[in-house]
Amino acid sequence: MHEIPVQLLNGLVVGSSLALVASGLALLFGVLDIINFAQGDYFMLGGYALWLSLRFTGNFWLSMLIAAVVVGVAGGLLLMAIVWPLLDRSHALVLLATLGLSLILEQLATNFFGGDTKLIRPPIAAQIPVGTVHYPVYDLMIIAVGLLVLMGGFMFLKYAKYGIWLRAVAQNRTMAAALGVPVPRVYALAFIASSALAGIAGSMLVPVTSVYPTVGSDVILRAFIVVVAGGLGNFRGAALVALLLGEVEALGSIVIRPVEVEILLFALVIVLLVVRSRRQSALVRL
Amino acid sequence: MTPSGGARSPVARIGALPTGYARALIVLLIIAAFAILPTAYGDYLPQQITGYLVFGLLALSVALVAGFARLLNLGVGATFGVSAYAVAIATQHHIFNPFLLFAAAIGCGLLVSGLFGVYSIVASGIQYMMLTFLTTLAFFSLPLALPKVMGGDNGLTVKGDLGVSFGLNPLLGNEFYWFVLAITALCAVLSWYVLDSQAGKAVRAMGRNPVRAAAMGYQVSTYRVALTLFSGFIASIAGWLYVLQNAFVFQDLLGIQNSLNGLLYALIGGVDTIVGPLLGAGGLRFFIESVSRHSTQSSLYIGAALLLVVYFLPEGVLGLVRRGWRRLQAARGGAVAAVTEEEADTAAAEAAFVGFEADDQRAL
Repeated sequence: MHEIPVQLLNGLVVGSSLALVASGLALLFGVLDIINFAQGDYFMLGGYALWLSLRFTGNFWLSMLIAAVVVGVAGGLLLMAIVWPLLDRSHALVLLATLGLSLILEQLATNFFGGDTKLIRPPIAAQIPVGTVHYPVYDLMIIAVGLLVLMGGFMFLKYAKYGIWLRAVAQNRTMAAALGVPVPRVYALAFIASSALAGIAGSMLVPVTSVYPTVGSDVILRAFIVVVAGGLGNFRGAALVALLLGEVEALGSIVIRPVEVEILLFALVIVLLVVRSRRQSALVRL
Repeated sequence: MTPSGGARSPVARIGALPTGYARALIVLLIIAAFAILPTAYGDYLPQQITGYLVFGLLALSVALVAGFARLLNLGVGATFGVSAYAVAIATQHHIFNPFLLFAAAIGCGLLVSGLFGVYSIVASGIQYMMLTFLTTLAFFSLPLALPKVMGGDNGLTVKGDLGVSFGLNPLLGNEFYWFVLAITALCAVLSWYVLDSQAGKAVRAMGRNPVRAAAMGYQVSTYRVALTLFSGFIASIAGWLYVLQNAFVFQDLLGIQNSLNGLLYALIGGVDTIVGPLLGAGGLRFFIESVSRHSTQSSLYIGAALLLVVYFLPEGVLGLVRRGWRRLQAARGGAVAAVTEEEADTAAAEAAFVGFEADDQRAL
């Protein structure tokens, strides 16, 4: 029983970073109706960007900011360039294009950084006692930063001008454009914000999970589950389900093997999706 | 989308296998050529083509469900893998009768595609895609959850030697190649027959526009389930042939990558044709085998190939050839109307691929 508090915290660490990736996916789906298979690779690129800029700047927190901005702007605009010509065409083509991007990014990362894992020591080495064990302070920082970013995103969508425009475009693109919302700029914002969220999560987790070219694959699968279960395009839903998923996995693995937890989760989400698929809606909701 | 005014119905024109006797003869000649020519180059070429045919069948089953019925299924690999695993597991329990193994493979494969059938009733578009995606992920985890039955990540070796493949040796002589070629040809002809039947035409109409088809009184979900099961049957045959050829199954067969490969082959060849997926599988596998012999960058090439197909060849190589051919004929015979109609058809087909919502709006 003594491992429960630690596992609860572990669940939050996994959950909050997953929530960042998944809410980015949900945002993009809500606004543009597209699914980005390369989101996991932006997570991976975030990790490498941190590793690289840490070698130049030496400051962890500054490097994290750089990673988020670089992955957000460069990744977002790259994705936009790839998806833009396909927007009025079939969903399947967009999906396959992002899949192609994902394969290319993974191979390029292997070429540039090598297939080995890059490990970074956490910027804060301190530990605090939780129950009978010592828990790293940095992991608590991950939870805090993750939750802060999510809260910020939520407030942005709710009150900021561009946040409201994002929701407006998601709800009715034609009407929003007619009312003077600059739709292309809103699209660009959605691409950049979504990529930046993955970049933050990826850079934040390097000290915990390290970074290697396929680190995104594990994340993206979970993120898809989260986005589906949270309601496609639902920002808050994705965030909440991600936290829940992190907890369920962490606590579930005390009782049964992780792979069994995984299959149970798949089954649960499939049932959930079957039940609720009748009422389809794809809006950025709050 | 416009109704046909030509001598032949639009549905017949879309079919890859034509109807005339002369064309049937051509098909027979091609099969005969495939049966004879590769065997002149020793044992290796037939073995290589056997592999291409097996994955061609997987691609065909993807094309049936994704191209003709317009349900973007990302889980056909699970059907393929479960069928292959069924054979491997059965031989662990000393079942070596090839007919029983065939039945096991098809039965288990159909169970999985039955699940996809249920999805096609309750969901469409992106929801359907996500359901099939999650299902293949769940099946991918299954060997790790049941390591004693399914061998974990070590995979399973098929026992029982040549008895399981009717005594045909996949590594020696040409008999196994002919066997696979015959079954592939049978599956292709069967698919053509099914798609050319009244029911097949109805399924295509539903793919194009489910709302209209439903308004005309067709039971959309019944037809979708039927086609999903038929596609699952083809995928199960592919899985069964795969395990007979390789005598080994492993986790990746069940995973998303296998499904995506099938989709990619089908897309490259032409997703609403029957021969296209077979060609696409052969062409792309040959290409990847050639490049990965010289470098380790194969996933870079696959990614680039994917982007090229998406931007420049959304109807596949065969679709492009067909369009060029029609244009040529039109230039000769002056049947311009037929060409523009065909173009409207393919444009609508591409637009409607998965995007049901857009289609619904167009119908209303």
